[in-house]
Amino acid sequence: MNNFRMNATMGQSAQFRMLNKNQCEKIVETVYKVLEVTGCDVHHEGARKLLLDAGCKLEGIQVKIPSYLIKKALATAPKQITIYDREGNPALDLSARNGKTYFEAGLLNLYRIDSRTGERRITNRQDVAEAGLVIEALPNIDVASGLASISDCPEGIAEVYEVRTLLEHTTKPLQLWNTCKENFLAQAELCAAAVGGMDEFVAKPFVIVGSASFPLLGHAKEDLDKLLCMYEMGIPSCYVSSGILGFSAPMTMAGALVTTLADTLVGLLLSQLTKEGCPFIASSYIDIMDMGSLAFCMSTPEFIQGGAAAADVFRYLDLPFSVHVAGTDSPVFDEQAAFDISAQAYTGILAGVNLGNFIGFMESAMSSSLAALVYADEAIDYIRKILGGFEVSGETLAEEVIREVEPGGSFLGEEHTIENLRTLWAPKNFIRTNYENWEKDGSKDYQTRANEKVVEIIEKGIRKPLKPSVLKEMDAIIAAFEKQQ
Amino acid sequence: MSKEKSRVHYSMWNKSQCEEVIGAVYKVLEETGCSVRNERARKMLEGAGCSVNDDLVKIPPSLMKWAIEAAPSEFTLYDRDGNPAMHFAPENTYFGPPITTVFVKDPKTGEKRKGRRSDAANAGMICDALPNIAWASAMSGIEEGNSKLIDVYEVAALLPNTKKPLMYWASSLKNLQYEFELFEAAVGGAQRLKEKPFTICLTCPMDPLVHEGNSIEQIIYLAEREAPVIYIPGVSIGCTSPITIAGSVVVGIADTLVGLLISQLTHKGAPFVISRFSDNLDMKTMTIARTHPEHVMSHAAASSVFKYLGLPFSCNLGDTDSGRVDQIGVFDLVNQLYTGALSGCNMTMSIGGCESCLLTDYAFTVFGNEVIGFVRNLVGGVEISEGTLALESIDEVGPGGNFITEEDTIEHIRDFWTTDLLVPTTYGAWLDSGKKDFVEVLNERVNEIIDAGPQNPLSDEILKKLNAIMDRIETENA
Repeated sequence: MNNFRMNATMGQSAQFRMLNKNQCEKIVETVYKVLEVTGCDVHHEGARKLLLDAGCKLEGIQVKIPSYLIKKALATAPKQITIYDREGNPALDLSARNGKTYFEAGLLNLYRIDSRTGERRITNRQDVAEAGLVIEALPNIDVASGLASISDCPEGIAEVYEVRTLLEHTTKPLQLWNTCKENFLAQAELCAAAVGGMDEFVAKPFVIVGSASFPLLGHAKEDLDKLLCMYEMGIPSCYVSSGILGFSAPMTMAGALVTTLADTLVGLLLSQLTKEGCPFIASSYIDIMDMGSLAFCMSTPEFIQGGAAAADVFRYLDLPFSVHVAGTDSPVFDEQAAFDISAQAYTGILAGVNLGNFIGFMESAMSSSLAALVYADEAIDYIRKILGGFEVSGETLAEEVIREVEPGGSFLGEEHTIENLRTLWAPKNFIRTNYENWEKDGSKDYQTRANEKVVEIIEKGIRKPLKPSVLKEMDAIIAAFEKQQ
Repeated sequence: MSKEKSRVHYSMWNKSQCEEVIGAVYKVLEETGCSVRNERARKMLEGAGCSVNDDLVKIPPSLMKWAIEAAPSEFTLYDRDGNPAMHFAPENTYFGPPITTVFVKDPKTGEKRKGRRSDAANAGMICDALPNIAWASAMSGIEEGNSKLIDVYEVAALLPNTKKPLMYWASSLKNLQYEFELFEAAVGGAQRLKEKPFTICLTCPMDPLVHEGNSIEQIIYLAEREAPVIYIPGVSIGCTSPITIAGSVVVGIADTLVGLLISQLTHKGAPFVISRFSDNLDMKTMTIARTHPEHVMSHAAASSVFKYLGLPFSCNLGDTDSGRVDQIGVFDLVNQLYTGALSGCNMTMSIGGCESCLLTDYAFTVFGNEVIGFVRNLVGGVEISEGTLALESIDEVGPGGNFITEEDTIEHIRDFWTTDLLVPTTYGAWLDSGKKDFVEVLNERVNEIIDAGPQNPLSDEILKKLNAIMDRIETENA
């Protein structure tokens, strides 16, 4: 479990804030106004009934929500959510105010850049297995996902196969996606089988589920269908609300914060109306479209600036949250991709985002790379060290040893130096060498080394295997589910 | 509601931690003292109340506090044409190139070789062309011609190729005087140079706690002329400073402040930039190492103290241990420039330095220019106002709607950062381009700039003057 906290004051870390309290207040007030005056379309009858009974105004499918209801939901939603790993150990400590940041591997990528050949190809089940193995081995990638949309399985149930494969290959918490309630229930059954029963699974959830709002100020039937089911089960659920600047959100960052918050907070309200105390994860994913090419662009500061600003608002609301942090427009894991991962991970950690989503993405989410995960793992470690701060005390200020060494002297042989040597950061895949030695070792560039690392991890195989009986049970669940389809 | 965009809030150390660190600095200077190897400076220091024993000088805190008060908290560096270019003031961040790297990567052949005069000219053009690179330097050192004049050659090569403020160095007081002759000729006289300084000299102590005669002579010469100088301790944790970051900040700040004190005693109010660079050794390879979080965090911490002192300051961020533009080099550039921007550092260098600043690679500088734009945009913050919250527009568009045709959208469409380097490319388009490498694109930019020649040339008359001065200097030093 990582213990890094942004804005910590004991053993002080760097202090960072993008928006001040007044600015957060102003944004939230505007969100309340939007929900109360403009309202939103709710395309799900059950959800409309919940909202109406609670005191909302209904005109057709349009619901207008008084602000006191959102405030009440904010009061009853948990401020802290623990997500476990497959073995029941606490893994994520999600809370807007604790400054801890966790990183989630991305999901739903059509292609994978193969670490052995460098070629891009359509994803299959083996890619999910490999993603699981690599994420399991990387300490700073906290939540696993398949980084794939697998093609070698019966149509319409790729996400069920993905969960089956991930469960076998990693113990880390999983990020689940699903297209309908039935598929979600099949995934839940698989997870329950992995931990010995549904009660065990619900008591120590090791997944993050959820849904996405669509369109602007709208909530679709299928999405709410599965969301309400997740709420009833009480599994930590994230309602992802994204807005594209100038399209499905206003062109200004502040305006986009308002609309994405207005959408995610409807998810919050429904969670608390379904089951008071239900663990809910808010979100704000602000997307940018290149006005020239109409392509998504992720290699741009606005992609992460919105997340950093949202972090302050969620801290103000004291609501666990997720934002996106690691997209790139580059189609391969090159220098541009490295730039994007670094700049966005740095911002994510600075802002103390609880869940930073989409590590491993390439080509504006079309594709994924496991070498990029290896890179991100080390970059995150490094950035945490920079921002973690260090001790200022009599001992570290080293007055005594400075006096002993005197002008022009060297600290190299001093006891103080030897005692503190181990406090320095040590690299894993970032090598420290000179040009001559690098050449002697085969002139391997970073990408080659990262790909080698990926292959090495994959070849080691499963670290913590499930019992054969559990695998058998999971296969039976999938077989029954397929038949039902 | 204020319409103002609030910059992000960031700090590594709080006020009381800064006070503790500066308290330790005062103690070191008062109790351990420092070695000042220049007689004129020692006399000034003794006259001001220091205790002097041979070359060991012990400085009372009250005197150092006086110097911190006396030094200007703001000053402006102009360009060669006399336009304000860099305003050293709290939270104004500027970024620039390295100086005197041993090697340069030849922009045409890619070969790593020693620097020449023509490289200094190229460096001038590259710095001139990149909007986020605030000042120019020769970047690589020069190893041709008369070895006694390599520093003067840098200045002579830079002046015709860039109008940006110049960062330079001098190997001796005599060469510093030669360089001043060139500066004065380029702008039309000593008075104009003094009124609108466009150059900043870089000089260093010998850490820990030793101030060499040559550096101190230069600081005095520059202070007399009110010419900007930056005094750079390069501390190495565990070698020239304690291994703890806090201890290394103490030694670095103690060293730079002695330069400041001598400058202010020479001429109260002379412009002075304090700094503390880290030149950490990697204990395994025993080479200088930049790809270390300790390198970066020590700058963030020192910046907190510099800001607390309220003086213009410089950081050494933006270079890498990597020998080429690869993922590690890019990572270093990002996390270091980000830290520089967040720290409010007035002068962040050395963008373009690689192999721990042994080698200049212009491709890094071109990429650094992009990174600076990116992080500045991020650090610039988000405007929260009635206009940007867009309540009216949201109500108009309503559930399920689209903002594309809204007036608000059109009004704000230009608010965003733009780039022609980090553009969305599909895998297919990348294959079609022959798998064109990102580094190739950067090198193309470098060569475009160099091939275009100087964009801000000097007049023939001034060039003639500069050449005549150089001819005379060559003869004097033959």
